[in-house]
Amino acid sequence: MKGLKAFLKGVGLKNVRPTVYAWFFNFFFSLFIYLGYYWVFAGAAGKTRIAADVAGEIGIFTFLADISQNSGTSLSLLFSLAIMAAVLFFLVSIFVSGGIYSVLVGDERTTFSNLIASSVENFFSMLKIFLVNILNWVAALIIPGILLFLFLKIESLSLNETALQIFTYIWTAITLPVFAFAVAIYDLSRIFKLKEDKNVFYSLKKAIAFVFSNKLNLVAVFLMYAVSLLVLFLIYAIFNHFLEDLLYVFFLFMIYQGFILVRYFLKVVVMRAEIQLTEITG
Amino acid sequence: MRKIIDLILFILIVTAFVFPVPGASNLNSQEDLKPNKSTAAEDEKKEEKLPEQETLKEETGEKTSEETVEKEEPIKEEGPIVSYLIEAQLLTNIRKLMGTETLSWRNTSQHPVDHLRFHLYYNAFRNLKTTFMQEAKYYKKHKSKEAQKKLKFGEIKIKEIRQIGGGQLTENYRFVSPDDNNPEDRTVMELKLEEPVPPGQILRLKIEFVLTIPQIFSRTGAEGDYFFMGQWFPKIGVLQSNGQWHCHQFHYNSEFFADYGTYRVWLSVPETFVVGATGNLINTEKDADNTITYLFEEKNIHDFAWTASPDFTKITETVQLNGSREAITIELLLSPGHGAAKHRYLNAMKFAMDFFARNIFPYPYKKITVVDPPLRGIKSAGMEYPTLITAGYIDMLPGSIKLTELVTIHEFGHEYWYGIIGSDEFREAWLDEGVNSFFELEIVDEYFKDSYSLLDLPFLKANDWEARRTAYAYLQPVDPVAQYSWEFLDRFHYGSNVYSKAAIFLRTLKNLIGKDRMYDFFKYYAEKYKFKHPSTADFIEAFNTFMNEDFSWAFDQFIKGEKGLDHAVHSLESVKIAAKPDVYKNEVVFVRKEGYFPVEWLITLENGKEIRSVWRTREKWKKIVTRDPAPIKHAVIDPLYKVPLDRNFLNNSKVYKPTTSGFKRLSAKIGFFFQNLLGFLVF
Repeated sequence: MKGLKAFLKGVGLKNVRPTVYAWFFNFFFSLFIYLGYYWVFAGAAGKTRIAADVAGEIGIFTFLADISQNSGTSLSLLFSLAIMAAVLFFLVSIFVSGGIYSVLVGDERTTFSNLIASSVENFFSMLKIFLVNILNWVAALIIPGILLFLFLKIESLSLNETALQIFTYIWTAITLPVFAFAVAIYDLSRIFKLKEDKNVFYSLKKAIAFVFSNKLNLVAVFLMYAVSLLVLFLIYAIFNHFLEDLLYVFFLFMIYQGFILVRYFLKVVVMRAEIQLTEITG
Repeated sequence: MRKIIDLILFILIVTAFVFPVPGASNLNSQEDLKPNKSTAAEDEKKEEKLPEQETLKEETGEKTSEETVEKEEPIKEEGPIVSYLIEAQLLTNIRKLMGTETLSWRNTSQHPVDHLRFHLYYNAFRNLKTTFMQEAKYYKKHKSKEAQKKLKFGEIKIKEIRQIGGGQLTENYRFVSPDDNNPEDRTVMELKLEEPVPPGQILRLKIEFVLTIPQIFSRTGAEGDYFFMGQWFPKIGVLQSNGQWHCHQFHYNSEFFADYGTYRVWLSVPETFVVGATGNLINTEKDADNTITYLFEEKNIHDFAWTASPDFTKITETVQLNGSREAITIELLLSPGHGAAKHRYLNAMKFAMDFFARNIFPYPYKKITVVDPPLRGIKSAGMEYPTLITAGYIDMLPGSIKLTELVTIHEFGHEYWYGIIGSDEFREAWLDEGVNSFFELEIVDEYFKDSYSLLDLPFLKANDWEARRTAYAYLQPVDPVAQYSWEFLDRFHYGSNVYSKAAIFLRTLKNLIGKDRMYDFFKYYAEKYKFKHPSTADFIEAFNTFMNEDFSWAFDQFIKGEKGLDHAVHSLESVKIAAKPDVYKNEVVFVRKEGYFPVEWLITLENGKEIRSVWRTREKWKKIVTRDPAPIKHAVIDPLYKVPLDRNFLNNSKVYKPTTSGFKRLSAKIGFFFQNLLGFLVF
């Protein structure tokens, strides 16, 4: 119940600027994919009529196949850049989330200058928290990993489709909460680090203790988060089915950004709910 | 003395007529020949006992099939070339099969035949050194000894060969490898006869064999208690008119070829097993030892496959096809957990059957069995045998990945281009796989007319023909389509030539001559070669005759040759003529970068005027020069994408002012996908 309340309370708070702040970096790192692909396509076939025929006379599949056969070098370069961008974004997200957590924990004004300053100020401590949390992720992988290993080892089970289906359901039912707890431990170790400014291992330990004593509340928070994301996905699916190909590219692009913004809004709400829980439950 | 001999002969002949048994022309007497039965528990012991029982049978005066066949059936000048009577006993717990085959074979050549050749396909799985395993590079996948130990190999062992009315031939066989001289390959057996078989005469043999059933490496074998039995019995090769045997080894990249004939097969399996097989179920007999013997029979077929598993759910439906006198039974053997696939299979089957009935002719057999393999037996999925196909379904894949329908439609199509028209899959596999893939594309275009026919996922959509064209477009032009299956550069070049290039070539031809004429041709071709063995030359001859035009130029390039096709717009230019202010000299150069095929071209001017024609002549480039009141907007070769054989669509047009909104939209979608991915990745 506390978890549910914390999530709902989080929705009503001032989340717009942290959301935009998070979205901006995501957008920035994606921008080169938007532009990069456009440049490759335009470079390879800009002076042809094929752009007008894509998704018309011929499908996107055929277009991409012909592009990759005839401009394969540019595409593979773009693919490598995308992987590099993803790795870089990984580091940047530590920077960004540290700033948001810091502002929310300190109950500071959610101005962009505060968010940036906090990100800079807390980057190295957040990086340390991230590195320490590798232990947390490894631990989270152990149970699903062992289950998977054992299942695959027993050939008579892994090749039995009914057994495979049952195992998949059970495995998912175990793995999802385990990963939700691992995410919660990571989030809360950041929160405790920012609140108490102690050793990173202390923060991790405290986060673990907190998660295990507030399991149901945290499950409620993550369940609300999952349901909200599911609703968002359904809205996107409807949009995709009925509207996507009718809109002008500009509007399409803006709506895409709207979806991403809502996703980050929900993440900020979860961050707030986690902080709320640490305050309510002491 | 002579009178006594005459009397004995008379008694024997009368006896044979009064007690007809399998192998004779009367097919109602299967009760008289009952294969030996065994319980699962006794299987292992009985494997050794079987010959003794056979002896006992003869001693007690029971009539065996070969005796009656030998004495009753006269040598015919006409009728099937081959006739098989096979008794098979599946010993499930030790994965073995005991078989007795009575083969009648007629020498249709003008030459006396002193030796026979047989396919022993099962020996492809006896170790990693066979030609099949070497070509499949299994040794790479199983480098360590431990990995190799885990492999369950299989083989076929010949216990005895006897000429009915002649002597023992067991010592007369040897293994030969006509394709690669591989001494480790035992998939072709040569049998030296005591006496040559004169032209037109029938030879009868009784062959006893034992199968060790392998894991399913490819198409055949067992996984757990799922058995799929293809290429399981000694199968005689095809004697060509020149007296030479057409009997190739089992290759990784090839399928099969055999004479049409009659098959009567008794299958004994534990009673808990559900059985599906080629042909019609004639009789079922429960035995005292917890086994059931099924008798299946069919005429005008060239192979026999079957499956058995205790886990199958059998679903039958009948369909009445246009132009067919009898209703046809679809028998679906569904694996556990595949309930959701039932309607996908049945709807696809009914649609494909109706399509062929409308456009070629109705399916001529009474029954078609669709086997839905379990996941563990997935390597037996997607295969065709006469009146029996294996399809494929994985419960965890979304329905928007339409492989279940595609495979079902594809495999059913083989009933025509492999089953009824006996194409040679060893030497000219495109006549089956290529023609069938062409029909697969035609059928799925109709079946999924409102959606994508291969992938209809939110971020990835593709039609079947696009996937086929892409596979062709990635080919290196190093192999002709029509060549021996194992002589392609690699498996990709085999598949992409034989299936994809051939199908896309036929689709391109269809677009040139029109759909109705193309379908009419195939109807003509199928009628002409029903239950015969056409070659590529026959196909081309039939095509040219039907069209009343010589299309050899097309077949020479794209089927007999390794060529692909690529048209392009080389350049375009609009120059204002100074002397006449409102007149432009417009010039477009079209080029043939590879191959020749008639193709439309279109030049569109800024004022909307269109100039179009068809480029039929064979020159490598063509320059179009016009004087018009407006400059060129764009020039396109093949504006309606009627030539999918063109391996590069990107160079098919040129424009003066690029319009790239299509690229912006596509880039936006890719970018959005990436943006979401980043959002999921971290925070």
